[in-house]
Amino acid sequence: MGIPQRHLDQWLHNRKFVSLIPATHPDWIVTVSFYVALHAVDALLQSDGVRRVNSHDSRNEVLMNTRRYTRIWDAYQPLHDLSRRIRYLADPLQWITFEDIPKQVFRRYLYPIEESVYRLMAVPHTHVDIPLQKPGE
Amino acid sequence: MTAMSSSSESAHIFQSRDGDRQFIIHPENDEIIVSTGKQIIQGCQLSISVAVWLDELKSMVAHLQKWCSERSARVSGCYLEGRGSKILLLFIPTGTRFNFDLADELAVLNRELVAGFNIGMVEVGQIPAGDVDRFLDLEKARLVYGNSSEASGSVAAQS
Repeated sequence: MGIPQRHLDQWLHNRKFVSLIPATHPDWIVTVSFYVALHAVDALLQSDGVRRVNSHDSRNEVLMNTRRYTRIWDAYQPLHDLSRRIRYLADPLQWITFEDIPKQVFRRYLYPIEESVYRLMAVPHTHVDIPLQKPGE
Repeated sequence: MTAMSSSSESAHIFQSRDGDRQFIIHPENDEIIVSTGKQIIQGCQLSISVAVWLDELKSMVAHLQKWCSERSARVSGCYLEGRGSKILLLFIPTGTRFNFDLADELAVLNRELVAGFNIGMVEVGQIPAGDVDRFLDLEKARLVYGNSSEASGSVAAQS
């Protein structure tokens, strides 16, 4: 199975958008970061020939129950959970702060997912750290 | 139709032989239930499956209560709710912020619950104490760990 170009393109497309989101909106940085991870994961699943992944539940089931994807699951699940709850909070800045984004959301969850996807697809790691807007910009 | 047997002798229903045969069942009230042998067998199989599933659920809840107790510094509450075909477990951290260390543990717990208990899909998450009713139907959800005042935000509101 070849490298799925459409998911790779959307992965990069979402990644670029993350750096455009103002520092005042860490909730949406988290949400878009999750969709960066999702397209990275879907690129891998398609590359692996995994079929019938057409919902969050079915994707979660595959990631959770497949040993090959355990490292991805352990970072993807918290990112998914954080993104799906934070959008509904009346005061999301009480739940996470902008300062949490680079260290916790990116280095703890997003980058390890991307690194695992690159490794499992056996393609060179080409992504750089996502530049964030500075508070006040 | 006459009774198959009025003694203590067992009566057998074989699906191959009795699947299409009508059985008339007389409960203690005045109802009469007419059912085929196949329907009786399917009903028994379903109630066995439900009983097995409920036993698994009870075991999982006991496991969860122990898991939370061992992490009482991080977890103040845990709610369980049936959501369609899956079980939703939402944990309340002790602080007011998303707890990243707890989140890592929950990802592992999620895997362990699905692999270790035969109850189907389980979804695990973390929510603020003050937003419990935004994510759960409190009429259906069950608090499996913690007390409701702490887990639903009274403590957060006081602090």
